[in-house]
Amino acid sequence: MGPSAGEAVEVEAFFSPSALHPRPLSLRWRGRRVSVEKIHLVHEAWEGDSRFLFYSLTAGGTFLELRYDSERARWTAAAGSQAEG
Amino acid sequence: MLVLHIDMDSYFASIEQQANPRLRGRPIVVSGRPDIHSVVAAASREAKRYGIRAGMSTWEAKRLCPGVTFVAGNPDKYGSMTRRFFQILLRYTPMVEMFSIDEAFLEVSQEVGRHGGPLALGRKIQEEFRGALGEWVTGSIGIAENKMLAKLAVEEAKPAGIRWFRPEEVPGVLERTPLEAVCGIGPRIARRLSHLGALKLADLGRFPERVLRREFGVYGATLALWGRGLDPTPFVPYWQVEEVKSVGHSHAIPKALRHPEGARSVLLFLCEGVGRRLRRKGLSARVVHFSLRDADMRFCGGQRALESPTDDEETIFWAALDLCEAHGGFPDETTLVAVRATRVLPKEETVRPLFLAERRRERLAEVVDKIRDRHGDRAIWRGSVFASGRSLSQATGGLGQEREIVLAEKASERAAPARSGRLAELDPSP
Repeated sequence: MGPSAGEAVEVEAFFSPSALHPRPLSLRWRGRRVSVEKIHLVHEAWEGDSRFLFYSLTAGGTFLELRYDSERARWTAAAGSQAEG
Repeated sequence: MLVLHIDMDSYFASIEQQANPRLRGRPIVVSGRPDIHSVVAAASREAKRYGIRAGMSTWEAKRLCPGVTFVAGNPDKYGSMTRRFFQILLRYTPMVEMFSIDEAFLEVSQEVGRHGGPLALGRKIQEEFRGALGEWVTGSIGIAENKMLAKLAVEEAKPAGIRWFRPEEVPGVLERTPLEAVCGIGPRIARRLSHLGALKLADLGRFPERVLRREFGVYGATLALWGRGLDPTPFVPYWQVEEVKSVGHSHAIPKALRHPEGARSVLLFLCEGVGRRLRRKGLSARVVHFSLRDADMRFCGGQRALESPTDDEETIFWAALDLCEAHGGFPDETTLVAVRATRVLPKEETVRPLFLAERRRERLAEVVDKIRDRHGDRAIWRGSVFASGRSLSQATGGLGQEREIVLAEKASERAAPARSGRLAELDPSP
């Protein structure tokens, strides 16, 4: 079970000057720490002049979508891909 | 000239499958919000096997494939990916023409030698796509001597392949290509041509040009060239800025807003968008066009010259509403509304408002624009469009929410009089 939408997530990330965006390595929420196994896709979105990065990734066997607020350097769980059968 | 046409495969759906591994290998449809009636914006390869196509209603898609998964569209995600693949293309040549969010032309006559030939160049680009976009997002590549042929070639390359029409193959391609397969020949034109006895592209080449000119005017000359495998459409690289000719928006209206009051509020919502885009570009418009489509898919509309050029949404709205009233007002059910501001000129060349009320409105628009620039388009709403604006966003997931007529215009200019695709068939504007 992953974090719920909007929940703050502590992220250990690698910031490389040559990379387009930081790369999350591990996540911690509710005292649980999991490693990021695969980043499937990263995209950016703007709200006015605020830039957000969205990460679709698998961590601890769970699919998650994370939102990174680059202005406040804050990570939260995003709503994720909503799907219904 | 050697042209590469890159067409991303099932683009929006592939991106969603790339983002979420649970969706891979499954029939999925990208649409508006999944819990309401909407239209299919994109179908995955698996969904296409059930006959699901873009433009179909979600209800129809569900009927064809009861197990289909609906995914709400995310334009930010697709825009982000497009910027990424555009950057990759620029590494090969500055001669890149973006044709749509998922299609581009590259003029590579000078570059192919360095990359080991057209096929090797195509394979390199596909390899880079895999690294930068992910293994699930693939692009097909058509290669030929001009854009028209390259676009035909890409259809034979799908999915994820490369097809090169060598010059000696072109006569065979022309003989087997039905007219509707050509971008720029819509069903109506194809029907008229079939009455003349032309069914395949090569048939056009056998007509004397004057016959086609007599029947279709200047466009007839283009048809005659296409029939011989030639393409007069210019290559327009992204850096060749085209002059903006008009600014417009149109919207298919969800069921809940089809009543006259709902349609009126959608019109105001669209006019807000037109005003904002005019101001952002520093333009004012002299003429307003309005059109609507009723439940029987009939269009009506008209155009009106304004007393003075404007970028004010209210002025545009009242002009459009007057045009609507002149045609009997909104019908019981309106299924589409479109508004367009044309004959644009730089605002600095226009006279400043004389009256205090107009100046206030101008200042208010500037402040609202600033708020939206800082906090996003949804930060501030006009009370009368709040409900319809939200409802439209939910229905479409932001996809196709505002058809950028200016882009369609640009595309149509490039495709000569052959206004490509569905818009040419639907657009009733004079």
